[in-house]
Amino acid sequence: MNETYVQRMRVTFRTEDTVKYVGHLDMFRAWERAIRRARLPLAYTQGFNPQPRMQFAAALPVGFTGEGEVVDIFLNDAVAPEELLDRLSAALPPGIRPLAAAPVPREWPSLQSQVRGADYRVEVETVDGDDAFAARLGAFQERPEAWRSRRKGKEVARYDLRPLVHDLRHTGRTAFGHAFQVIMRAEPGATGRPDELLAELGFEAAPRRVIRLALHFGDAPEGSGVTPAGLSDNPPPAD
Amino acid sequence: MILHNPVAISRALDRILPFVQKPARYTGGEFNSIVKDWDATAVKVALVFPDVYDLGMSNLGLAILYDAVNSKADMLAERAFLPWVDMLEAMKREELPLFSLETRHPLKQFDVIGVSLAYEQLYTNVLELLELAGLPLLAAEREHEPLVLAGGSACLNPEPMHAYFDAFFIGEGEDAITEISRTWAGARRQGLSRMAALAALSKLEGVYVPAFYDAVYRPDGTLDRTQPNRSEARSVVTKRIVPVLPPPVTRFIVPFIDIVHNRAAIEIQRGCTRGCRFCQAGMIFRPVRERPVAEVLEAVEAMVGETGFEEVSFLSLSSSDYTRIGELVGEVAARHGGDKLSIGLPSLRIESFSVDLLEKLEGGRRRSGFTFAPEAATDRLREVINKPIATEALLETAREVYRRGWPTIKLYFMIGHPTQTLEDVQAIADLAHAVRRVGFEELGRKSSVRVGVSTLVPKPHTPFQWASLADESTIRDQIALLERQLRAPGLFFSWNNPRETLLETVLSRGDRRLAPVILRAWRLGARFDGWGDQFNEAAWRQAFDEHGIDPDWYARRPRDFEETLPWDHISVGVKRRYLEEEYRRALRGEVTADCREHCYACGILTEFREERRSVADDGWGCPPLSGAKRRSAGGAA
Repeated sequence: MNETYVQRMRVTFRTEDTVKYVGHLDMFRAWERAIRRARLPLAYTQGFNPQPRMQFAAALPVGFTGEGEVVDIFLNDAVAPEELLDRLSAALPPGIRPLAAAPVPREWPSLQSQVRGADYRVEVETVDGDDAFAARLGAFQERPEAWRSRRKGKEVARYDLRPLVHDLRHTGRTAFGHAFQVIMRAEPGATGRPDELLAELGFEAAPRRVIRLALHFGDAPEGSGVTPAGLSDNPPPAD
Repeated sequence: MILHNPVAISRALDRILPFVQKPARYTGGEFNSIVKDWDATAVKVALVFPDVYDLGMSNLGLAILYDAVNSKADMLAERAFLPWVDMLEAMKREELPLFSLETRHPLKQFDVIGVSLAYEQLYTNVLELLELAGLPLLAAEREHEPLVLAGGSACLNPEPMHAYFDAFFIGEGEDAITEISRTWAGARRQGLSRMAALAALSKLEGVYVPAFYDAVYRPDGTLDRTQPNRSEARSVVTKRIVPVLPPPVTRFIVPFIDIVHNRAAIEIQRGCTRGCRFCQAGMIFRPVRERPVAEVLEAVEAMVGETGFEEVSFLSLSSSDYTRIGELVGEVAARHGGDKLSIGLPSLRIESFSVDLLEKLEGGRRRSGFTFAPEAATDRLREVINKPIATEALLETAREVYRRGWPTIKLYFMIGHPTQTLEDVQAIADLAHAVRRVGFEELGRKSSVRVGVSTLVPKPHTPFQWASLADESTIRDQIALLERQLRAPGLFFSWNNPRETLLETVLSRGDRRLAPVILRAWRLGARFDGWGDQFNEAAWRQAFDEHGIDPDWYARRPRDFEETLPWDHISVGVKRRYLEEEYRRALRGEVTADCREHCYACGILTEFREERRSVADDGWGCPPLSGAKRRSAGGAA
């Protein structure tokens, strides 16, 4: 297909409390409108119903905030990264803050296909003492498997959550409970989500704050050598 | 637990928002929302639309007032809407008071709570919101609380809600909202009592303080008079207007979620000179004021840059009557035809010129159907309602629409007009079939006709205010007849629930004796009355029964010219005598021409003589106050 874009810009951004209840489709549209306000030359897909050419690495679940979210924006004219950042900063809603921008090769595989996992920080409201909370985390880590089911349309898919959870670490008390950090892996057909982990830990509906700290790209490393949010000099391996 | 500060409210929201529908309705933070320094701003106004965010955020009036208040350095305006039923339950469970979206302050902490009373189905929602805000429901029981002020079209008969509002504002609020708010805040800060502060407000043009009036009834139950009980209260409160439309709002708040209208909007014209006799908007928004083409074009440019919306809608009661509509559309098409902006142009007259206009705006795209509102299906009845257009012309226009590729035509009709016969109803079906045949000839099976039928609600301040709502059995029979006849491929028929129509009629024509009925119905569970699936007929029926009030007495009793109407002490500048004469002409089937051509002395020019003098000769649709035309207007008034 004949594409018009000349530049693929990778933008890392933060989302704050005021936008954490905005669903992914609405977030997509918020970016589209911001790019229009910023008068950036956004590329559209060809065809009868043109769609803006933007690829988000991974939808942020409703209720989460993100410290290192990533989106690729395809542009019909080249724009300097600093200028793009300035214009986006002014045009995005106050709860979405762009942090960095850098062009990446147009032919790289889609961002979404490269996501291997993410770091999370989770705070949960609980009356647990330090030991009790640490014991919960420990008990989960001792388990050989943790089968969960997830509804996909009419079908219910079962998957094992346990191998998707890495480096589960109690990081201390917060104003209203405890916090932990964790790496959740994403694999074909199964993406680890901290709310699923919370449910397994016995916090089905407890008030919580979930922050996605960073996304992992490429061949997901085990806690180390995390590809910085897409801004690496090395292209991720093609599929 | 008492939650009365933004931090506590935010904490509580994190507990409940993960479990409600569309949580982004309740969080604010949208682009172009304005967050001012709470402690450093003297006058604080909460602007409330008493229905869900999705509806309220689509209301242009709210956007205009938000802009007007926030443009003043000493004032702030924040928004609040009525939470949907799931959130309502959650907030009550958490004892969370209704709060503003911008800074999450409880409504109780504002100086003024301005409620948009756009239509009657919002009445029970107002009680819901007062309760959720933690305010006494009755105005008489409030002391240190904020001013609870209503504005909007439903205020033109304020009486059914008189007990719940401290004051009603009648008319166009662009300037008034800041004046009222400052006057109120100033008076209270000086230590004036609530009554004294209200007295100060009642001196402002367009402000109606219901506590300063008494309604006196006759033995037969009809109203004798509504009279002031304080010397400073005027016997008639006249609406306030802005002589020239102020600069349009361009910096619209851009919601994250889908709302009813996802777009920026600009009034290209206020008021209408057509004089359709059923139409309240056509009577209450007089005089006609047009916005200059250049101003509209500039505003469109600004809106695209400031909001990023995909659509801008041109609003008016009758777009075809905008003097330079061809030029405006041509310019907009030339400037924005290439980009992805779409322009909405509703309320077009039934003529092929309208097809030209939309074709220019839409370019090669055929976005939606074409909508026409003939309102009646025979030439005769259209003369009665003063919306004359020949059936032949309608069919020719329909042919043009289909020929140029629009597959759908929507036709809106009303049943229950004065003098309507069964033939007039039958004609709706015949006309729909005729349009469908035309569509089939031009486009084949791709074409369709959607017919919407509502029942005439004889609204206050219209020539039909003396008419009565049709009997329920008659309405049902007529709808059944249409339903039988409008079954065919490519033909779709929808109609309104007659019980909802009855309630709307009673509430819009009611008097002070309805106030306790509204309260009772709400206590019995009525709310979101405009939402079809939420309409709680049993609650309303019980409330009417308990108060010994027959809704038909309000809705279906013919009234004569002698009777004092509950809204007679509220004036929109249009004289009662003019409305009476229009009603007589309706019954005789006489058309009154567009008053741009000739002044029929409706009263506007007399009432707003000074305002007329302050604007250019061509600033209003009305003739200038000079020479022969002035004599004709003054002479007949």
